[in-house]
Amino acid sequence: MRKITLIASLLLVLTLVLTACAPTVAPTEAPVVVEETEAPVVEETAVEATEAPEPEAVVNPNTADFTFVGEPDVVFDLNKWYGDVGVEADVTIRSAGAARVPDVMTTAMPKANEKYTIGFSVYYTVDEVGSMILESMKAAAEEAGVELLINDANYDQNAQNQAIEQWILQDVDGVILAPCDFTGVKTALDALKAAGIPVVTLNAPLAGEVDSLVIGDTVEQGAIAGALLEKAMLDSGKEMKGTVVYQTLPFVHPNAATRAKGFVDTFTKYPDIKIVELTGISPEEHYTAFDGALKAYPDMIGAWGLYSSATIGMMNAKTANNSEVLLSSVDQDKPILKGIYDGIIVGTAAYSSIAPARWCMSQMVNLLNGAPIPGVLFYATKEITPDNVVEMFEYYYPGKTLQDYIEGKVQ
Amino acid sequence: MHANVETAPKSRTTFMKLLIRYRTLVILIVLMTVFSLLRPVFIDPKNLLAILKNMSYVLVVGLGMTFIITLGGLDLSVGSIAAVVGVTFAMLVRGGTMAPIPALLIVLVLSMLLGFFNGFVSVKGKIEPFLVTLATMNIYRGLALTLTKGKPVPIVIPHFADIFGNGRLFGVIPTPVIISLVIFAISWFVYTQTKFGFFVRSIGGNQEASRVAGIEISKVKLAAYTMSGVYAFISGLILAALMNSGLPDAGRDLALDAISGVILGGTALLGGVGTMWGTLGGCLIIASLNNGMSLLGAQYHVQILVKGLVIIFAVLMDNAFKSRQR
Amino acid sequence: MLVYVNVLELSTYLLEDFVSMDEYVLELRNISKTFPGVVALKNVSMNVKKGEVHALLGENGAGKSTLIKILSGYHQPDKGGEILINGKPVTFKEPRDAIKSAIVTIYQELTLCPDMTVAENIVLDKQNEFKGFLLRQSDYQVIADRVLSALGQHEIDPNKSVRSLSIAQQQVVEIAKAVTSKAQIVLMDEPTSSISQSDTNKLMDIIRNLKANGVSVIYISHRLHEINGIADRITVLRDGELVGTVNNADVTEQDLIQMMVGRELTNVYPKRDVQIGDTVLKVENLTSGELVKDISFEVHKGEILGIGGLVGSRRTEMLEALFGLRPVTEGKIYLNDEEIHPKNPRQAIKHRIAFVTEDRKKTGLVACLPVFENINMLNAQRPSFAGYLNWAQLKEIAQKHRKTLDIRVSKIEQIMGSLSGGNQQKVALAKWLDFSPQVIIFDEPTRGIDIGAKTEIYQIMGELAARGTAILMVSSELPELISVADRILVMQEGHMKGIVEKEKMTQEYVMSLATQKSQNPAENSPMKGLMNDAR
Repeated sequence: MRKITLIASLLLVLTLVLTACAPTVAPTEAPVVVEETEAPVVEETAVEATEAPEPEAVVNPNTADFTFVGEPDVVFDLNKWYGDVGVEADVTIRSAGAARVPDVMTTAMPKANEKYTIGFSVYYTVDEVGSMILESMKAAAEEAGVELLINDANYDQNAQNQAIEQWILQDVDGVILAPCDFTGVKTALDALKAAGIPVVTLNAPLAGEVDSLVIGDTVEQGAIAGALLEKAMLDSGKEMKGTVVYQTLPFVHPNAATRAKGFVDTFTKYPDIKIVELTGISPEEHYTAFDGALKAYPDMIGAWGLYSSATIGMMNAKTANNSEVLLSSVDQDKPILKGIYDGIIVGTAAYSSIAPARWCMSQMVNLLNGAPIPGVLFYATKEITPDNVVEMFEYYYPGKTLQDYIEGKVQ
Repeated sequence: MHANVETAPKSRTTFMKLLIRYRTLVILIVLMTVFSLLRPVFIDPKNLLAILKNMSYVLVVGLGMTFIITLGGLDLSVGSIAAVVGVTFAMLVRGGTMAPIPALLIVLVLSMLLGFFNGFVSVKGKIEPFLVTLATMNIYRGLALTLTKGKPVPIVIPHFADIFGNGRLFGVIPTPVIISLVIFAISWFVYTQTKFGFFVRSIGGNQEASRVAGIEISKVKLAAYTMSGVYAFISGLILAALMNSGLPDAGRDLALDAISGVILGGTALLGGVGTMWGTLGGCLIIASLNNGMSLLGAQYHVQILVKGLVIIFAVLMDNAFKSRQR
Repeated sequence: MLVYVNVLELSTYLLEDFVSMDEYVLELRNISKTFPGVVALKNVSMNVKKGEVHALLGENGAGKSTLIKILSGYHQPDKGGEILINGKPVTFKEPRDAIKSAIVTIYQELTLCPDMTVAENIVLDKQNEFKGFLLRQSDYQVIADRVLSALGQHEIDPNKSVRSLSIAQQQVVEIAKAVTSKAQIVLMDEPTSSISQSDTNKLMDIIRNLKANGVSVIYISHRLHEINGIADRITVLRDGELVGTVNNADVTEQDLIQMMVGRELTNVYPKRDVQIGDTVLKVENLTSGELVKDISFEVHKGEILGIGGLVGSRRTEMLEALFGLRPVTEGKIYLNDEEIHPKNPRQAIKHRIAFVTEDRKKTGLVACLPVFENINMLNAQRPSFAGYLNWAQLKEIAQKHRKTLDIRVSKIEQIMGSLSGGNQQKVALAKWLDFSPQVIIFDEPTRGIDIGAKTEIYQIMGELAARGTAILMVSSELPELISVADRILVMQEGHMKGIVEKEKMTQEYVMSLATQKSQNPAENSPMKGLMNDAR
């Protein structure tokens, strides 16, 4: 017994040391394939120009990519933007201006003036999107020349707040975070403000003060999905009359509310179309809900999955019922892309999981370098239809092809 | 005597004995040393205070759990009760519908009822507490989610966050640390110096013998589960104050972290044996692990892996301790 | 598969396997077994012929169960002893070895899987004989059908789950299981203790059937009349030693009783002469469900009422009913001429009744707590401000008991579990004393403790009696009972067989009361109730 205890204690220490070393080594051996886009050499010189002695002369090297929404010098009223679609928001943005950006950075990732230490907390890494965000953030940090501290909050706002507390102790230069809970994050944001540490958030925190926000235009996402469905319905030659079902989360989530708004607005011009909302969380629940809806609404002419789990459940229910109802989606999960390829889904409004992370990093580095940054940065939404699904698969999942996925060669 | 011959092995065995007796402390020191070497900021006093602060709500629940586990029971529902506490309080005071103090009292009574229900079903229905609280864990969580429709409820009253969460005594010691240490002192007293604590230990040690000795087993059990609800109430308030909002999914890992802390502290899952000091040490281990792993930037995957390993290790030590006792 | 079915042709197979009828199937030579501090068996030799029913007889603690455990591989005998099967020496390291040597034991507690079918249970322990072939349900049934009809048990359906069978039928399944294991020797440990009279008769038929097929049966029972009816030879053990093996035909029941108890009555501890006072406890027609029927007695101040009977006579159950641990379904209990209804131990304690239980580990003590806490189990229940316990004071009380009862511990903080049996018993007793009980129930107070400690316990009991306490004492040791008790109430299977006055107290008389044939076999109901109440 004594021996076992000794061996066990040795093992424990060993594991601890190993696991302790693992995350610090990992980033160097796990570079994410991010397209090194044709960065114009001209812009590179612009970066060098920022190193000029006079401080006012610092410019943001990424400006070439920005398409400003409204006045660049005025703080964008994001709360009003949300308020317009009925979502209560309480966010304060320090930087002026709002810009739309393309998926791929056509300009280069800015280089850090000093070796900044930046904390990055991600809400979840147990699904593919979370992992892709984390990996691309690591790659972006290396590219920008900053040290990245990582926290995996696993949907626990308390854990995220604790990590931020530690970063304040460690005197980090900036914090990038994808919050788990849009209200619970406020305490951490307050602490960061008190410590004078700049913050960039990925997806909207609805309470608190940040320097900049990188978000998707969720209203646009809903509208694109609506337009895709509308076009398919018109193409089918049927009368624009009957029920359109959409499936969402059972509780109010700001991103869901804004998407729904964009979608519903598309169909207000058709008085004979009745919109029905159903809810669920997991694909299984959405399957059950849609399975029932297909029977309950014989006049159903179109359907929409508001997020990936909804669409995945709905497409399976559609196939199981041999239904011909037209279905559109948001999100670009691999099963959805396969569904588009197979003709089960007419199309989806998609966005990159890699680009937003890179934009967060460039915003933070620019900010720390002293360059002006837009307070709100809308990352791009693209539509995927059967016509472009093969290319878009490779675009969103670099190094993988849809064919390989269908054949089960990649996961 | 042949003292000379025996000195060497004997001193080694006493060393092993000490090592095993103070196993919780040993694990804690090893962990802290490893983390300090890897990330010096770990032993920064401010970080140590942060550890204590983040331990506070786990410790509070763990102290209640020590009573329950000593009784030979288990309460998986404490995390859900904490969530119910947070959201109901936030909802009661929202929009100034109710003054904070009456709201606190109502929530306190509610949490006692939830705890009592666990005990009642388990004692009167003669169902394993594991099963009962597994069910109520879901029921109470569902309650919190239904009440709020899944949305977090911000707490709008002034000073709440300062009193229970982010305030500091003398500008240094976070209030949750003070709260949890006061609760610790009270729990220690009840556990060791009162009838109730004694009956808990004797029932956990031998229910039949306690029955024959005339101890009212169901009363003690009901009281313990009700108390566990009160502990969850305090923990839920701290959690809500730290977030300044009632989160319906607060305290997801609370019960398991607390149980791990109690087990690491040497309380036997079969009941009868335990100490409050051990629970303090065990919860410190859990909090140090969380803090240290987070400092190392470990992904959640690795964090739970290491936590599990530490628990297995502690149980191995526990068995070594027991085999030594016999 | 086919090979297997052949096994079931009982008559052919079993007869072929033996060389000669005269040889002993089983021989035990000089078997001893020493446990730490106790010699359970001393140089016991016996033998069993092929196809005979050999009864093993003895008082409680005579060594029968140790012998059975050795034969079934749970215990290993001390060095020097030998077990021979068909003339070849064998050693059993574990129960499996015994089964391999064709000795199968049928225990009092049955070992079947209740939710599997009869057929599945019968083949359960033979799975490895099938060498990778999956058996279909129908194959199981063929095997089960054959063996059950060979045993003459046609009414048991092999497809039924074991749970749905009566205890007696379950026993038949156990026997069927043994037979299909090619058993040469079947050990039956008190097989009739939990079945009714008619089932007992059926069992006797099965035993005869086994015997006719050349299987030897070692039959352990207290019931002399049963043994008389079935056994060929009888081996009697007493205090771990062999008294002798006799042919059933040569002896009477009276002879057997003589052999069982025939030890000298050394005065273990004569009870102090105490003035016997008024009636303290009076029990009228006490009945608890099916287990305890119609018990009536009185105990007086300063009196020790012994309660005798064999294992299974439900003395403990009777006392538990008295103490509120079991419901009293009929009858009355008077304490000092006032009727009381203790519904739980707490109420019994309020009436100042104390119960020093039989199983210290299970119901007497909390092994993981220190000595002083165990002593204060009842004291701690006294009212106090806000439930505060003054441990300093309670420790003093514990020290006082440690001194007066001479509890030998290095310090009172010592963990209970580490104490010897005698000291544990003293602690179990000590916790009751501060309540100055009017009635103390001692259930097997000297079980598992050494002679010195026993004497001390008798002394303490004597002092308690001298102080005017009424004492009830259950003991399975007749000499102890006779020397300590003023009167002895004898029980058999939950019924009262009489109260023996001091003048009539002989071991033979008490034993004959305890073993005499049940007068109303119809009421000798199955132990269903007992099984349900089992904790």
